[in-house]
Amino acid sequence: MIQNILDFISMDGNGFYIWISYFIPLTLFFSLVLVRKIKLNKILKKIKKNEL
Amino acid sequence: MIKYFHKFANPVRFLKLAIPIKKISGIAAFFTIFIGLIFALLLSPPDYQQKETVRIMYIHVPSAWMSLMTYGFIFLSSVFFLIWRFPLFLILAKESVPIGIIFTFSALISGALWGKPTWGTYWVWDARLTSFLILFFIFLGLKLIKDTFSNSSKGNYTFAYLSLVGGFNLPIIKFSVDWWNTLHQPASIIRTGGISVSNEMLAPLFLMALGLFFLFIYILLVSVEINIKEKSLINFRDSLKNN
Repeated sequence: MIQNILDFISMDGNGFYIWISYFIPLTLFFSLVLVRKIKLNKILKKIKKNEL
Repeated sequence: MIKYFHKFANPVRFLKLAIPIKKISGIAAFFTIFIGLIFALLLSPPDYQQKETVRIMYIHVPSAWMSLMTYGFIFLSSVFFLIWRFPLFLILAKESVPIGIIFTFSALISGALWGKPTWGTYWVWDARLTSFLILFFIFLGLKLIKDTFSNSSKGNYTFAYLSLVGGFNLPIIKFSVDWWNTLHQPASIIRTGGISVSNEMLAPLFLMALGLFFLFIYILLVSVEINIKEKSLINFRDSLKNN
């Protein structure tokens, strides 16, 4: 079981290239979504405040 | 068609339509990318030549497709803005730029990481890689104009015209592998002889591409909502000051 997981992580000795090539884009996509969501929530709060 | 544009050029009407689409595309993006990753990293077979490194293709190729699609979208929105002068087209074009930068950067970085184990180098100055790097710089130029002249009419037109000029690079990127001898492989999906990739590999490729497409729609609509609501907030504050 553990050996299977280690083999999966190692990806035939190319794990570094494969995991980094997924990690960087996915982190960037997630960060952009997060930044936009936070900004939208802030604006919606301000609009609510002004309406009150 | 112009009537349709007129109807949705109104920001309030546009947001009424955009908010439900945004929610659906957000959920669709999450699930499609999640399933795509399972196929890409676990279920798809290794390549007979490239072995496990072929898995980089499932993030590299969809990112590259999406960066080209994003630029195509900016190009068309700018054309529509210059013809019909609806500000909504300009907002759509401008808000697509940061998404395009991230897709292009992802394609470049994953391509470099794929190049090292397969070609023995992270980078070569061949036509495909260089034209793609130029696309990245065009995106950065558009971002610079967008941020520098955010509220001037001159800045808006400079943005629209520059995005039209940058459009020359799209066919160069697409046909660079046919026009010049490149280390980058020729097209294997959109080509005259038909698709040359096995179905087991096509499934994760299209799932990831679809997931990134939904993600593009989601981020774009959130950004447009921010832009429109920010402007309405500024207008509201200005009206308070004037009173």
